[in-house]
Amino acid sequence: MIQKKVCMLGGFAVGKTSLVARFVHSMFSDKYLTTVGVKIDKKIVKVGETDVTLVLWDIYGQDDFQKVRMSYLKGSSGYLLVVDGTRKATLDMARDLLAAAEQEMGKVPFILVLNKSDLTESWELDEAELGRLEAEGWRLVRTSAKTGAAVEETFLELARRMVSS
Amino acid sequence: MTDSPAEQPLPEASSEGNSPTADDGLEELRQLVVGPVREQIQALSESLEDPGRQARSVSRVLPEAIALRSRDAALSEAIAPSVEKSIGTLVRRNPKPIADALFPVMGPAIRKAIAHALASMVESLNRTLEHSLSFKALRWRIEGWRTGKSFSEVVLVHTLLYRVEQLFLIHRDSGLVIHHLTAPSVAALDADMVSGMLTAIRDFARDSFRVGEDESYEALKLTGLDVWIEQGPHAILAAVVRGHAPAEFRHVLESAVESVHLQFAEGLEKFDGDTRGLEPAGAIIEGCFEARYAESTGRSSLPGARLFFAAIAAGLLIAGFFWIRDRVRWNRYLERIRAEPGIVVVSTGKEGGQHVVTGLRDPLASDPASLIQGTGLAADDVRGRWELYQALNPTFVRRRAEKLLRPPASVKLGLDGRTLSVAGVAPDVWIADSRKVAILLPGVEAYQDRDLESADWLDLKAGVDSLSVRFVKGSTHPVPGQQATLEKIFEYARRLDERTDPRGRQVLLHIFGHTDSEGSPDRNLPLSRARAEWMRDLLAARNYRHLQTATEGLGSSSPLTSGTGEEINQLNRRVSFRVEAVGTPR
Repeated sequence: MIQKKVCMLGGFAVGKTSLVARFVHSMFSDKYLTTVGVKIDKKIVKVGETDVTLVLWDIYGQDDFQKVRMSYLKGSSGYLLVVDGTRKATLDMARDLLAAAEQEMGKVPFILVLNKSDLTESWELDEAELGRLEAEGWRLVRTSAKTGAAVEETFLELARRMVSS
Repeated sequence: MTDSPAEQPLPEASSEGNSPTADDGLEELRQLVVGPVREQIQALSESLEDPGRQARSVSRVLPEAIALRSRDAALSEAIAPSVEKSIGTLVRRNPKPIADALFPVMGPAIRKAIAHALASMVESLNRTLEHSLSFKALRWRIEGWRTGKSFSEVVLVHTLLYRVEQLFLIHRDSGLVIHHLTAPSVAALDADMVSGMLTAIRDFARDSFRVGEDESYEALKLTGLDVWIEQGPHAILAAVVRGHAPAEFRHVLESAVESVHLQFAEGLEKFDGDTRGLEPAGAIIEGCFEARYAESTGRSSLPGARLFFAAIAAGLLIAGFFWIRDRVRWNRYLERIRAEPGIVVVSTGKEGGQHVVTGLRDPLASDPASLIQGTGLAADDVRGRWELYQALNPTFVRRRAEKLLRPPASVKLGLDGRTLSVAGVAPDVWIADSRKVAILLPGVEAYQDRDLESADWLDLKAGVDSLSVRFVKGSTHPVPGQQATLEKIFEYARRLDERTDPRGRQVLLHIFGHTDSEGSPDRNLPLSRARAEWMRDLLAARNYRHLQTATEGLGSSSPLTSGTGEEINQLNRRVSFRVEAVGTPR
């Protein structure tokens, strides 16, 4: 059996929790997020013939990343870096979080998740900047926790990259 | 094989053999120099191409070759698939040899497993039995009913000192679960998430309270549940313990963590979420499952003893119930027969399982045996020993009098104190007999029949009253044809002569002479007197011994029928009779 620890990182209210809520197996209530600062969920995906258990550490988002407990990131095999597409500041936050994480843990596969893709009217992210990130080798996915668009695929892609890395 | 140096000269030799520039001398020289080698090579080559010879030569070195590589896992891995396949084929084709070969191994293993299963079953049964017959158990049953848990669960909670319910071997950095074991009958949680959360909480606690990274032991304490955490360099062993394990349990965890790190050092260090290769670690941590129960070991004889005493108590309770019930029924019966008139209970007791009652019984009282019905006792349960006696209470005296005297319907018996009184009308015979007998009745001291009239006497009187003899007008000669009437008068006279009145007084027969209303009283009165005297003389002629008579002439003053006419006059010319008792009663 293969398991991978995956951290869900992102600023406050970017939709990490609702992003996974419909797609994961959960046994803890959301109150852990505000008390302990993390909530563990589980998602099993199939990579080829192998079942890969993703143990998702949904880390409580704060807009001051200094407060994020870096000890929670230890042993992660990958990240989902979640950004609220309607709040530009959350992208900067994500960038800072990733830098902090990589400083702590080294480089591991990650996917930048641009959430709330259904709210196109209030979209704030600059496409040029996103293009630059992609050019840097970042993988960008647009998702909507509301419609569920691309969520499953994102998990699967991250699993695939973690297993092959 | 193709890399073997022995093969290299072969193509060289053959290419030279094909050279068109070779001469005989050179050929000879070559023959001399390389001939034997060539033959050898030829032979070797043939042997290599002949599978039979090859097999033979390999078979000579195979055992040594295998022995040489036996310490190397590569050989085992290489032949494992073939061996697997062979065994599979063998089992499909004929499983018996395999079964025979495995039997000595499997037999004890199965026996051990069964013995283990039985032992734990007996242990839990003992525990349940031990607690199923006590006040504590009653309380626990109520608790179970209240909380919706089964009785055995409640017993377990209360008697458990501690029990290791779950073991998690967790990768220290990632919090990923390497191994998760649960004790029997413990609901398994999702180990992946629990393990992650456990790690997170541990990190959280350490960060929050600034505990050093190498703080060697930790525990999470909840009500009734502890999580013991033993930390190694790469893996953490977390034991979920219900109840409170002793401090020594820490050593068990420590040595398990040490063993795991010793045996799987490399696997743990390079752990990337793939648990393959780490499965045997489960066998090591399994040794940490422990359980202790209160009041169970060393007192194993107690449940039996308790059961025995409980059985005795239950027996006594049942016997007591039946005894009390029998007692209640017996008392009910005794009360009933004591209340019955004419029955006197002298003593009660028990003989051979039967109730015995002795006493006195009036023959006229109810049958004591008939009073059993309705008390709950069976007829067989009671033996009565009754002596007959005569009860002197008024009911029985009267009942006995009635039985003995058999009074006619016209007679009423009465009892006033010890005096039996009779009233009404009865034949002389009954009156006479009763007088003799009544006084002999137990409980009767006096007999009173003053209000009793003699039916015979009344008949006699009435008969006499109805007699009359008619006379010829103006004379003392009776009208002819009255012989039968006269006979009847004589018969009555005879009966009167033979008796007294019921009180023993003498009988006086009045004879009244009458005339019709014609004629003057001066004539009629003497005529009527003469008629009465005629009748008296007629009776006197018959010589009655005791009968006394009195005559009186009433003239026409007391006619039988009033009116006029010869027919009526004829009826009134007569003598009539009346009986009177005279003198003092005897």
